[in-house]
Amino acid sequence: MQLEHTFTVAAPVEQAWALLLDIERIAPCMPGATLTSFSGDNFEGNVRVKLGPVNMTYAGKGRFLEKDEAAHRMVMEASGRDARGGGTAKATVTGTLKAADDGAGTVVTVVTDLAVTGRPAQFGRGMIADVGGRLIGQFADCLASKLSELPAPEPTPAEPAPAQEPETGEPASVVEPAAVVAEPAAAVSLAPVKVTPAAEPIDLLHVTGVSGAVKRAVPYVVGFVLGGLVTWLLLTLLT
Amino acid sequence: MIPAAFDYLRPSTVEDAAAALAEAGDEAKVLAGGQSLLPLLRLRLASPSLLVDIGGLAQLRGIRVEDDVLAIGAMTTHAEVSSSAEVQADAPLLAAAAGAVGDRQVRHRGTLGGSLAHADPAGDLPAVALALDAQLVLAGSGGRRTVGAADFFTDYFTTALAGDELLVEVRVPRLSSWGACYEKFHRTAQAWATVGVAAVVRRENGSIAEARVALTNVGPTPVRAVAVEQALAGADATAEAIAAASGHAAEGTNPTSDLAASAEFRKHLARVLTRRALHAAAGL
Repeated sequence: MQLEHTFTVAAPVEQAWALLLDIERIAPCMPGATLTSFSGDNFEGNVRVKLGPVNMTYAGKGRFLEKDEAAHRMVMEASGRDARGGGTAKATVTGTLKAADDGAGTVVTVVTDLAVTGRPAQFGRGMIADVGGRLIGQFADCLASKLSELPAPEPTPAEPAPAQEPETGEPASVVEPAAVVAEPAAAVSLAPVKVTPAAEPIDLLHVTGVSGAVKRAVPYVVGFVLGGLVTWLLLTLLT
Repeated sequence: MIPAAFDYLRPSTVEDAAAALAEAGDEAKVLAGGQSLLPLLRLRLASPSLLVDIGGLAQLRGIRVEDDVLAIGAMTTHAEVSSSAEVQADAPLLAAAAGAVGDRQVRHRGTLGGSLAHADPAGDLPAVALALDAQLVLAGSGGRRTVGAADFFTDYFTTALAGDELLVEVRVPRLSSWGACYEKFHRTAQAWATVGVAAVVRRENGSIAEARVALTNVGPTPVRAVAVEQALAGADATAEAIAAASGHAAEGTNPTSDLAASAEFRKHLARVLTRRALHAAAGL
C-alpha cells in the first residue's frame, strides 16, 4: 500500500534539507524508534509499538538508496521483523523537498510504499493509513516548530546556529565513515506520544537521539515507524 | 498460536485487582471474558507479563434495577444482558445489540464490560453505550470515578481507563418508553460490524420528541450522528422526515477503507442503516 503525506514548513528548502539530515535534532520529533547503530548508509534499530492491548517490537535495518542533494530527494528502504515472529514489514520511503509556491516555505512530501508479508498481508490498510497520517502529522508539527526556531538565512544570524549550514545545505555527500553506535546515554526521551489531543498515549516508544557523527538517519527512522504501523494492520486480523 | 508466558492472578476483590494492576503498571492486562484478549495473546500481538483475571469477582456480575437506572455489572455476559427481562424492557437497544455480538459461544463468555473496555472500533456495544448516555464506573487503587460514555472512548482500542483501573459497572438510564433499534451490516453470519447504527427514539403524539443515533466503525471511536439528531428534534414521525435526516448520518465521520468496505461505502452504509434503524425505532 502507498501512503502519501505532504506538509509545509516555514523555512527555505536549504534549511529544511539541512535540518532533515541532522539526526540529533530531528530524532526527538519521531514518535518512537530507537537507533541501535548507524554506519555509512546503513543503520539498525527497533520500534516498539503499543496501542491498547497490542504491544510489539519490530527490529530491523535500513539503508539509503538515493540521496540527491540537488533535487532534495532521498529514498530509503527499511525492513523490520517482529521480535516474536508476528510478521515482517518493508517500507520504501521517498522524501522530497520543494520550495512552496509563495517562496516562503518548503513543501515536504513523504511517500511510503509499505509491503507487508505474513499474516497481515491479506488485510487492507484501515487503521494504518489513519494512524500513519497522524504520526506524520505529529512529526511535521515538531519539524515545523524546530524550523521556526532557525535564524533567517540571509541576515547574519543573531546567534550562529550550531552545526548548521543554512545557506548551502551543505551536509556533504560524504557520510561519516565511522560506525557509530548510539549510546543510550545520549538518549533524548520523548514524553508519551499523544496521537490526538484527547488520546491516551499510543506510547510509540522513546526516541533515542544518537551521538554527533550520526547524521541522516531520520528517513530510516521514518521508515521504521511506518513499518511498525503494520502492527495496527494486524489488529484488523481480529475483526 | 501459543501465548507467550505470563503470570496469572485471580483476585477475589476489586481492590485486590486494582492493587495488582497498580503494581504491575503497563505490563498487566485485565482478563474479563477473554473473547478479544485471548486471540490477541495467541497471535502474540499482546504479551502482558501479568493477566489479572476478574472472572472470580462475583460482585461484578448481575443486573440491578435502580430508580431510573439499570446498573449492570461489568462481568455480566452478553447472553445474560440480551436475555434479561429488565434490559429488554428498559434498554431494548442494549438487549438487541448484545444479542447481535459475535456468535452464541462468544455471547456466553464475552462480557459487557470487556467489550467496552476493549473499545474495538468495530465493536457493537460502545456505540450503544454512547447512544444511551451510559455512565461507566471505574475502580482504581485510588477509589472510584464515573465517566460518561462520550468521554470514555478516546481512540482505537483506547479508553479513559487508567492503568490501575478496571471497569466495574455500566449504568444505563432506563428508557422504557423509547423505541430502539440496532442495525448492523456484516458480510458473513458471524462478523464484526462493517458499520453499525444504534438508534433510540422518543415519540410524543405524532412527532419525534428526541432521537439519538450513534455509529459503529466509522472512525477511531463510536460517534453520535449529531446532525441527524438535530434534524429530527420535533420533526414529524414520518418516513420522509427520517429519510431526510438520515442523509446527514455520515457528517463528521472519518471511516477507513479496508477489504471489507471503502470509506465511501461506509458512509453510504451509515446513511442507509441510520434510516432503517430510525424507521424501526420510531415504530413506523
